[in-house]
Amino acid sequence: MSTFFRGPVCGTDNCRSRLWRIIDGRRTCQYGHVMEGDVEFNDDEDDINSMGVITRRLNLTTNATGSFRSSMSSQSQLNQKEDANQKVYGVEGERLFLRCFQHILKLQCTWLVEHQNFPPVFADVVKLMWMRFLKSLEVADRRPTAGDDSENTSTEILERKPRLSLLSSICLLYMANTHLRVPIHSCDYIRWICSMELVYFKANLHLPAPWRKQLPNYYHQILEGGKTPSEGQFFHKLAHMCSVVQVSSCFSSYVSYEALTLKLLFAVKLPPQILFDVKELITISGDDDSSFCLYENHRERVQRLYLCADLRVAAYFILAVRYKILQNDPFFVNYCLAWLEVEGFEDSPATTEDLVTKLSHDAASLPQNNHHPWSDQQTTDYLDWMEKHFLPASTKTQTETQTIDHRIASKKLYSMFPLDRAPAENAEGGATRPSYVDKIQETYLEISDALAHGVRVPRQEQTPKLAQLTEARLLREISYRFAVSQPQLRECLAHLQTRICKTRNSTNCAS
Amino acid sequence: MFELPLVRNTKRVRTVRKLRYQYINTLYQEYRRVQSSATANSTLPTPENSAAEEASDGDHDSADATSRRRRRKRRLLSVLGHAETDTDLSDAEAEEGNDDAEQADSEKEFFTRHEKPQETFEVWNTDRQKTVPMNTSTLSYDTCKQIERRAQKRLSAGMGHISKNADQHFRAMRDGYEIVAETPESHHLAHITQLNELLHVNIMKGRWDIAYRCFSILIRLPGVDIRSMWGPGARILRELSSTDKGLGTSEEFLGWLSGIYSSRSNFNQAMNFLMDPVFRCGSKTHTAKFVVAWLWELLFASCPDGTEHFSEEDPSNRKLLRLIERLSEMVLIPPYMEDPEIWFIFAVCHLVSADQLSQRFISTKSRTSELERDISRNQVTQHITNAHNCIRTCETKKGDFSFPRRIIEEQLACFEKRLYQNNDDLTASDPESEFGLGNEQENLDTQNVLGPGMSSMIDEEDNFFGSAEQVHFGFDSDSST
Repeated sequence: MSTFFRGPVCGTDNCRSRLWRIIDGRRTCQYGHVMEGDVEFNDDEDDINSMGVITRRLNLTTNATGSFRSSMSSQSQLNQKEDANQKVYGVEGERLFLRCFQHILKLQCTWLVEHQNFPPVFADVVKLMWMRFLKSLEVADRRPTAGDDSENTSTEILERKPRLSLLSSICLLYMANTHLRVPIHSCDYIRWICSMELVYFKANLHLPAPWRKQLPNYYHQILEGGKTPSEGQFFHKLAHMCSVVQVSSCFSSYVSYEALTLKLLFAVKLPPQILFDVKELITISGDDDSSFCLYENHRERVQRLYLCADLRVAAYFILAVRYKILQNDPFFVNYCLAWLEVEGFEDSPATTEDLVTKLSHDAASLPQNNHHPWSDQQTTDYLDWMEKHFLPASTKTQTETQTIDHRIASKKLYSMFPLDRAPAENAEGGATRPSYVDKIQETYLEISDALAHGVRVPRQEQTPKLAQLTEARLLREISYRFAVSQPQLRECLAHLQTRICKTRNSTNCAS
Repeated sequence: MFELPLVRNTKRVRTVRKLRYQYINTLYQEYRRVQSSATANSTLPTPENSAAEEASDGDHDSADATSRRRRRKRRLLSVLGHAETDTDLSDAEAEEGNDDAEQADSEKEFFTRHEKPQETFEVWNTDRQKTVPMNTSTLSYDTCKQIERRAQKRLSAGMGHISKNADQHFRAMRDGYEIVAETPESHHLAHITQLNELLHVNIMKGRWDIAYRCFSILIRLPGVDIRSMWGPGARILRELSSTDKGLGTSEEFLGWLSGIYSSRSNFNQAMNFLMDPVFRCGSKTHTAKFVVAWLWELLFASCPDGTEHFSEEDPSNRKLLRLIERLSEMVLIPPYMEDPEIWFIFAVCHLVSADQLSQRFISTKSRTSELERDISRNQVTQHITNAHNCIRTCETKKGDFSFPRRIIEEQLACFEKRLYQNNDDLTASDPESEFGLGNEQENLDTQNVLGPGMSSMIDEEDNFFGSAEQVHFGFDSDSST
């Protein structure tokens, strides 16, 4: 019952006790000596103070209507504190997570419609896909419980984990735009998420505050994005999602390879003629439109990545370039020589987004990235991006969580280090910065200059070597855009090659 | 490439850290067992070595020590006849003991044998007298392996449930491999790494504008701890603030740091690892480096250029007075109270103000009235006394803070000489001030001033601080006298 607290040594009759308790309002030591004297009263008070009595100062401020509000606000703060601890777990938590995921999906759709001029119907298609996904969860749920009572199904307990990651949202978006035949491909999505234009990394900060508070931490982790997708994670997820949603049954799942080829072409700056060569190669190899559909796979991982349409197109593209060189087409061989010669172009992607994507991918996949010294322009671009996209995205809700002291302190600090130090200078820099089209034109011009100046006489025996070099570079350039590793892409290449050889042989035999 | 200004406290890091100390401790125990059995056979116990063993026992096996303490306590209680009477007490004590046992984790145990990192930070023990003979006892390979095997065996019980990743890290560390810098885990971290690298590279190249941009973005990112990167920030501001009025000065920045991060807390080794503690922030026992840097910077800023003559309204003078005021408050509380460097700065402050005040006697002697001269003479004496006191305190504090004491005292003597010379002149013209002069001289005598012949002893230590002040004091006073 009684609780002792430490105090001075009692000292009465050489008593060595330091522990005291209060009996009838008097301090009594552990062996029953009563502390006496008025002097002790002073000590008493001091002790009580030091034992953690909290004094408060009322800061009375008035609100807009002129009434005092300090007590009110403190009460509401207390309530909020209680709410903050109320995380939701179990079925409720899962439901909340799905709701949050849906919210993010909605944000992503809005951004695509507003900033990338997607048709407004896009959001509806995504919604349809999402509904089908949710339904699949329910179906999977019903199956095991069908033998039992029907009560469980009515309460909608999701027995199967939804296995959602943020990549699933991108997959849904991609499936929807494939259905609508919007010429956007996986490489575009990866670029957007890496450059943080599309809501992806730190997506949990975009959630409404009450949800964010209630959501358990492991779901926060999922919605934070984490690592940059690499090693073909996106394609594994895509194939799985396609099979869950059953895209092929009621949606169009054809990926237009022409658009993707053209996109790759401009990304790596090869001559446009290649487009026709790629098309020809595809017809020769006997692939029809059906082989460029979204691949469905009920497993978590795709064993054969070449079945994924995007990667297949990329592999065909590289193969076409290789065959073209091996054919010893004089213009093309010359072009490739010049292309390989143009220095620094590989390390300096045309746009900031590409730069950031490459950096993110390198950081996520390579154990030790060798840092190329960046040019001034690249550094400025990168810092601009940091300021415009990265910083706002990662500090979205920072001010909410800070205490007022913290906020004042950081405000002072930020005023010492203002972000826009020289606005005039920045504006000038923005004006002179070339646009995407300008940059592409510039690079093509550079290559054509190199073509015009150096007269190269390629020898027959050098062409295999040239083909190898070109291929290696293409692999490097393309792999990071699709967030796959180079060996994976090489594997796709090898498979297609054997396939083409087979079809050639069979047609030869037939003829 | 560069250290990230983040505290990365993942579960893996914590587990591996705990395992490491456990492993080292078990190794140590095993080793001691082997050694003690070896030594027991070879030599008879002497009073010396048994005493040493006991002392080390008390130090090392803290678990043992706690149990022994508890045993002793219980015995004492039983002797006093109170052990059974008060259950509350014994409960409380037992609880405390349990806590101790829990808290006496392997890390603490390790650090009882070694010096804590915050105590050895930038302390160079070059004293030959403090050297300890090397441990020359050898160990056969077989025994070494045996010890290792035993330690591993003892540790393996606790390693059943740790993650694969942590296990790998621990194994690598145990076998003496170094783990290369890990790839940053997330997209977020990857870009912070990149930004950090850009910051350092551009500072090295001297491109302050870009470095400034990096820094200003970096400090706004959540999770970045400014305490581990204030150095670059102060440097950048020093470069840029003179040209750009929109920025704060490095003085302001350091002042902000000193104001925000108090050093009233105790430093908890177990909580703040992965970062160099003392350089990062202060504690009750250590002055934060940014506070010291800030004080030096304030001192530099409050020194006059030397060309313009002294006046009351001089802003630098007011700054100096404010600095002295602040220092006099600071040296009353713990971490600064015991820091010799703070005391030294305090002394230098007094030195500078004595210099400024005594200069008045040379430059404007005809214009000042007698009363003013008296007042300022008193002030000078006061400052000189204070400087002496501070230096004396500085020397009594622990820590090997060395400074050219002789030069400083010579300077102080020089300032006093100024008064004296002036008074010489004045006595010729003005016999009324003789009384005051006499007092002054007495004061001078009691302060044990070094003779003017000392000035030839200024040696190569003149550039000890590498700072402009030192030069400024020396030549300024020389030229003026």
